[in-house]
Amino acid sequence: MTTAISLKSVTKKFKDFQALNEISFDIQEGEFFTLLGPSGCGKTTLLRLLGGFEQTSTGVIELFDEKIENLPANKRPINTVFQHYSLFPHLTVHENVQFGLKMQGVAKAERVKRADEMLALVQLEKFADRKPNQLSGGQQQRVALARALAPRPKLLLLDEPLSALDLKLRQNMRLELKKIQQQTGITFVFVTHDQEEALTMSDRIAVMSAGHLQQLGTPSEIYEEPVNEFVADFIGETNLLNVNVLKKGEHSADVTIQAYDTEHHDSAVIQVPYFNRLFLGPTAKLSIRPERITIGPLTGETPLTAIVEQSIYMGTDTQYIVTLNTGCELLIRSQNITSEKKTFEQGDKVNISFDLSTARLIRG
Amino acid sequence: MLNIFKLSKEEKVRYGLISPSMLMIGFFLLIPISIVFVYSFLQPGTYGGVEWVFSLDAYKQFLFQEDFLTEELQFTSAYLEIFGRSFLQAAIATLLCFMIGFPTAYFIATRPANTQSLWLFAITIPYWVNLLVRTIAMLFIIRDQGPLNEFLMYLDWIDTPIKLAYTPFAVSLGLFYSFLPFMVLPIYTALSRFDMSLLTAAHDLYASRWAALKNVLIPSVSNGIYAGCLLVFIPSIGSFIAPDLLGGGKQLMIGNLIALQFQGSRNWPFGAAIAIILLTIILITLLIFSLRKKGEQQ
Repeated sequence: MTTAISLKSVTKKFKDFQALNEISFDIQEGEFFTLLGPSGCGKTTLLRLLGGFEQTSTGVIELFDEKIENLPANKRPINTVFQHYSLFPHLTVHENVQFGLKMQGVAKAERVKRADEMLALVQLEKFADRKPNQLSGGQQQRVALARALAPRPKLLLLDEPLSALDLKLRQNMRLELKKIQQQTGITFVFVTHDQEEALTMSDRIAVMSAGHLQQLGTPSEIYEEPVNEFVADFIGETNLLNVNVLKKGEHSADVTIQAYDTEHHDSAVIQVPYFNRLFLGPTAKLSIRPERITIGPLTGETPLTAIVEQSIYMGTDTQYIVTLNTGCELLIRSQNITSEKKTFEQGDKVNISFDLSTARLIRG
Repeated sequence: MLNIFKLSKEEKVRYGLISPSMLMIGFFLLIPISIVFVYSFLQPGTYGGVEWVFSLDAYKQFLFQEDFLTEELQFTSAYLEIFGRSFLQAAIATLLCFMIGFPTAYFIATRPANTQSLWLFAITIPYWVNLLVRTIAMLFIIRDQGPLNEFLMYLDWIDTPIKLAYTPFAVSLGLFYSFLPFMVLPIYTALSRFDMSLLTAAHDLYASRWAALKNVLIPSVSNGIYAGCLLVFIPSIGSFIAPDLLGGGKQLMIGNLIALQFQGSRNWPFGAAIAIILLTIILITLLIFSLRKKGEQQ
């Protein structure tokens, strides 16, 4: 596989503010790559560095082995789908799509042909002669996509392009974006703060926070094997329990769930898997996804008993908030497989169990 | 015909609200123009004023003059030359205003939002002083012994003063200075509504700075530029003070010509006719422009 983009120790400083700190990673050709993080994490700054709208403070950016960090935006074979589309209001849809080709000096006949192809790709042939303000948000979004794809860029940047659309449309556009990416084979770098978007569309995800790269991996790696508390908490929902590490094995460790306060007692010793560095003592957290916890009626002696604090019916699932016998709260989501009403009510004593292999020990 | 008693309450309110402005336009625009229009078809009175006799002499006089001896009408281009000069002067002033006004408006529109009104305020400060005073001040600056020539001579760039005052260029300069804010303000308004991120998008799509300016910025604010050009061109062409003072009375423009007919020559119908001819030319030009603009939009 060929490397499309290679970032080497890229740093960006705005006056005293360190927006990006020593970012290094490669993006493969034809990959759907997502930069994910909360607002202010530096993902948009990184995108702007790739697009050429900002200059790197230090570090190297290579596009197919060519250094591009000093090239202005109009000299980079990279196009962008902007968050608010930024379509040219005085031009028709067709002229908008032709714009990049026109600036490259492509002859008119070729320009028209390629713009027609692009509009067919996004299914907007009928709207070619309209002005952008005569289109709906979703249609404008597609025009922006067609416009950015028309010059056949080596890299396509997408800056939260779906954030302005309503939910239903957003879900449709996810599938369509992914389909178009596979059809064109162009490398996509997608920026979002929406973890669901990132998980459903990406080949790989870079999770960022406070100007640092936190974790890089496939959606399932990011979800199943978070390297730290930030990633575990940011991607999906999770329960983070303070644990005391008693003994370390090669891939698993013996831990007890720490009591929330002195009135309670630590739980029994349990054995859980871990994937990164770990220290003995009360230094780690146990991450358990809410959907991996089973809630059942109280039956005799079990290691984990709890009291239901809140029970919320959510259609596909019922969500419970329970308090463990060690005093800490847990979020549990159980699928409503049958059409029966929710099984547990506030105040019920319940039995909590989870498959230890699905829990993850991470550094606190 | 509008029947006041048959109007619905809403319509009564609507007509009630627009009536003051309609009255203003009626009294101060339509009636004076009608008077001028009527006067242009009458004969001049001996001591000014008009004789109420229908005549086309005023319009004939614009293109022809009567030979003293034979009393034949001969074509004369004297007044057409004045018209031509006025159009040229106004065009130069408009171009100067655009060249200086557009960057100025761009500068103001790209300042932080809270300082923009301050910059606009600064633009208007010189205009608190009467136009006459400002024009005379300009004459003092550009005359042979004025500070501009003195400064250039001090720098040894020139040996003898450049003749600036009482030239056609001085008139252009005066017109430019008189009407600059009328160019800056509409362009600023258009620019402040322009989404600057479109320039980033153009830049992303391989447009150089110049190409982005030509293909995105200027077409997007063309309405502002159009309005600015009209607001400078039209008052320039009928301007009276700048050509009189800075041109030294040698660079006669339409405004001076009209004034002359009402004051010195006491030929009111001819003055009125010139005013009507100017009005007609401008209206036709505007009509052509707006029709072409409409055509472009469809």
